Amino acid sequence: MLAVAVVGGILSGIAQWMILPRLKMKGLWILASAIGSVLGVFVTLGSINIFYQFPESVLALMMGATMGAMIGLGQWLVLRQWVRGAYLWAVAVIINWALIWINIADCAGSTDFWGCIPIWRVYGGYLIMSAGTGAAIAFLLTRAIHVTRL
Amino acid sequence: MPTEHKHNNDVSQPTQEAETSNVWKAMLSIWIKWTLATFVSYTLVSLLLGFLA
Repeated sequence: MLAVAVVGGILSGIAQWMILPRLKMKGLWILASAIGSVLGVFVTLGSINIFYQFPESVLALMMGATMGAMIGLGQWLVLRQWVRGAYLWAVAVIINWALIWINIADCAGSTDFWGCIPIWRVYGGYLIMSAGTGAAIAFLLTRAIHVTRL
Repeated sequence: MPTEHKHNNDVSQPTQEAETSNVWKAMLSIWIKWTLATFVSYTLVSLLLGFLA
């Protein structure tokens, strides 16, 4: 799952950047996504010892939120240069990553993760995260375009 | 003067409505593109890593 987070974070950063040319973010968005994803994995793994005492679902919530915070904060630093209220983006990413991890909480510690979790839950989780962050960025970008005529 | 006032109102109303409609269209367009781009990215990576594992 962590490998998916890193590679998926970088790849989705590239795909998302293709939707953002209007804001002239160039490679900053991809860089922020890549650094956030890699940093997120290290910080999340490092925080397991702190969160380990909590029940499985709370542990998953905290790890997801930590991962989301690393990715979201990096992207927020880029987005805030062009969009007012960009902190909402970081909040949306944190919430969505927390939801993703809660979704897989019962299988997160399994040695056979892909065999443990039903496929519809994996892709359903991706879809919810994609739609959730999509709604946040659509709101922020449309407001920016509408207000400033970027 | 009152005639001119009425004229301005007639012009601004549809323009504002069209602008609001455009904002919603832009929002929907970004949402769909973003959702697809992100979903496809994570799905591809999962399939690839699942295949390699």
